[in-house]
Amino acid sequence: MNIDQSSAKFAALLVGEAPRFDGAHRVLDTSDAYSSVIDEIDQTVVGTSLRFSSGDSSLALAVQARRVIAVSDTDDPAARPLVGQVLTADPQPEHALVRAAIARLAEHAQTAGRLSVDTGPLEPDLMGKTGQLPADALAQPDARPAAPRPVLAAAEIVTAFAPLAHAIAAYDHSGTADAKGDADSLAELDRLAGDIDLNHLPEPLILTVVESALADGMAAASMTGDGYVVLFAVEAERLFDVMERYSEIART
Amino acid sequence: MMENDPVSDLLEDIPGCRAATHANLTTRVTYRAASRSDIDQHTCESACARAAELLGDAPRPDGSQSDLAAVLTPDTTDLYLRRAEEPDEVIICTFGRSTSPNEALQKMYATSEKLSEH
Repeated sequence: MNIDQSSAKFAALLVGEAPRFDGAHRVLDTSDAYSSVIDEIDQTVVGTSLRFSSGDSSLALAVQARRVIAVSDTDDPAARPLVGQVLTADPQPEHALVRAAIARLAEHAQTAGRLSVDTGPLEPDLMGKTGQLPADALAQPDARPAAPRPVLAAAEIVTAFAPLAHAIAAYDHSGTADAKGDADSLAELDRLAGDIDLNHLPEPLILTVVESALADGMAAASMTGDGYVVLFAVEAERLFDVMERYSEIART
Repeated sequence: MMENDPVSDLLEDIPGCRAATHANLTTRVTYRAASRSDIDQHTCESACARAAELLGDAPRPDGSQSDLAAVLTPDTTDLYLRRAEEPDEVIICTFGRSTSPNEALQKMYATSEKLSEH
């Protein structure tokens, strides 16, 4: 690095944003969560334990001299066998597992909109070990998070939830409904749909349920897909089944 | 945090659960769980605004015990609970993906029952 490059980097540091904290946790940018993790590794020179967290997902890495020494902890089942193992410089299947563990966490962070890092001392048994997996080697294009999940078609949503619902109707931006169910419940769903801005639907694959939102204690639920919002009326006792069904759809 | 508080129990029992309570949905935010470092003001305010949208500001007309709303994404389950006897207070919990939506809902119902005993 020449003097100009050094000056530019230092100036960039001076005008850089102040770190943000959520309690004791330093908050990282989630717009490209994968790069945020890699950057953090690339900025760590002194031997440090970095624990990245998003919700209840976390990945702890032992890092020194901008290189990963070892995976200290992970909730990624595929990478768990690596915990405690010192990584080598040669391209190994282990490197792909580390990349995949980071990508998994990054995907979760981008969905949840939350990513933080905690730093601490290296574990005693890793002191003196030489980190061999550089940040550069992790920043492979093929290590980027997988593409977003496909948008579910409204017809698929209707098929999935119709057996649980008293009434179900799909509305697009023109308000057209593809509906089935009892007339009273459908009328209530139409009333609800009138309150929704169908030109600005929320992200697909989000299920919203409100208990006792409709007459006779019925719950109202909505889910969006391919430009439609699907509303359905469901008995409160069936909320467990609705959430279970959602779980099957959204997590596969 | 208070001892034997059902909300505290909820926090302790389920890994990845974050909770906050909100008094007066439109004007004031309180941090009953503020000692937990994973809840910041922005998160709390966003969640409270969402609760106001989902549950509305009015208490339930039929006097029954709770209002419950849920927002599920593929990775998180957010639950919003309001007691009829404390209509200005909303409990908000975010469960991570290690908790199934059913487990989160069951826990929330159990907490609702405990709260109604207080």
